[in-house]
Amino acid sequence: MTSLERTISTTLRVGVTLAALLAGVGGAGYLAAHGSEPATFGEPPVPPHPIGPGDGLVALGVFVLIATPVVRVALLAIAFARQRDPLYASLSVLVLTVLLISLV
Amino acid sequence: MPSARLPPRSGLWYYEPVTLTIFSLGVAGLSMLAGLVGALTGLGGGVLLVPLLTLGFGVNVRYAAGASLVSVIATSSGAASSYIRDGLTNIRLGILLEVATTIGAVGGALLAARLSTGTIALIFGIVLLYSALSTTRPPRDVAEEGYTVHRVPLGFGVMAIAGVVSGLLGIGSGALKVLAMDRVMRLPFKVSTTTSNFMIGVTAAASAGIYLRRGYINPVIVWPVMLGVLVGALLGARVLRAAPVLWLRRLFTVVVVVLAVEMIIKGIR
Repeated sequence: MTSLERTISTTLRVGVTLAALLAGVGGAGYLAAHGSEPATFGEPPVPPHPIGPGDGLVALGVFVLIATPVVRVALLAIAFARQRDPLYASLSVLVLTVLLISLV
Repeated sequence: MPSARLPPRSGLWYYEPVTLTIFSLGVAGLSMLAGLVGALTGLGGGVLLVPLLTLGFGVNVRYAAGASLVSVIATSSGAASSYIRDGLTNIRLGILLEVATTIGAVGGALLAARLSTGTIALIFGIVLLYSALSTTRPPRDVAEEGYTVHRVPLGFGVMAIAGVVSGLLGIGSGALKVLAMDRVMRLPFKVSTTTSNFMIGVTAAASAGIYLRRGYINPVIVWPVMLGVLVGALLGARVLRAAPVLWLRRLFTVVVVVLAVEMIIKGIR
């Protein structure tokens, strides 16, 4: 296994673990405050539930999770540039651009 | 303004509003099941999660797709972190094809807002049916060393379609990605599945921003889904290593076909 593969593997693992932790703590906090209210998920875009303690943490977890593959693509772009592989460096940058345009 | 409350009898087991605690625990349990079956059949969690949430809990298909998209990023990234250590993932090919899947995914997510929930359910049913049947095909036998990649432009095109389907339905569309690599580009089966998994997180991330902006990624439903699917997928990976599961896979394939037909009926109604 190359050091690049090791770096990517670790990045993915850390991102997913951190996101799951944030979601778990946030979700538990949210239920502690709003757990006895009725659940409604019929018709978007009506905001279905009150903002409460914890859903900010869950949102942060979602952010970390979505950022994880984006960071992975950025790492590849840097690695291909270092290996003087202009084709795959530019392809990585192209994917990164599509991701950033859709996210921002 | 229409009420956000569920109409009664909109799900199979869901008859009247329950509390958020019961709802969250139920969603977490169902998501775990989706993650487990998704891992055992090789279909992935999302393609089962959306029908289970919409048919079982009456969750609107757009919220279900948003939550599924997030869980898809979690499971594929988690699995990729192990697969990449085995060295079978073709990273260069993955990056090339991600150009097609991410652009397709953005298009699919934009398209999702223009289609009715019925149409989305119908397309979902058809994709689910195809995915279930594709798992019954025996994998072709190609050596994992020194293979060549065939028909790249056609594979690139199929990948763009897989991206659209992923963004439209909030799933990883692993079955279509494997179709492109295994059948069209004639890669070894394990290279196809690991490289497909490698690409799924990036593909889902490309449409997640659009779902997020539309408010379809709702923290309240996302957290039990994300945790449930992750736990289910981890359990599934354990079971896969421990036991011969051919009969189990066949059983689940039948279940998935039933779910697909339910979604198609829901879409036509």
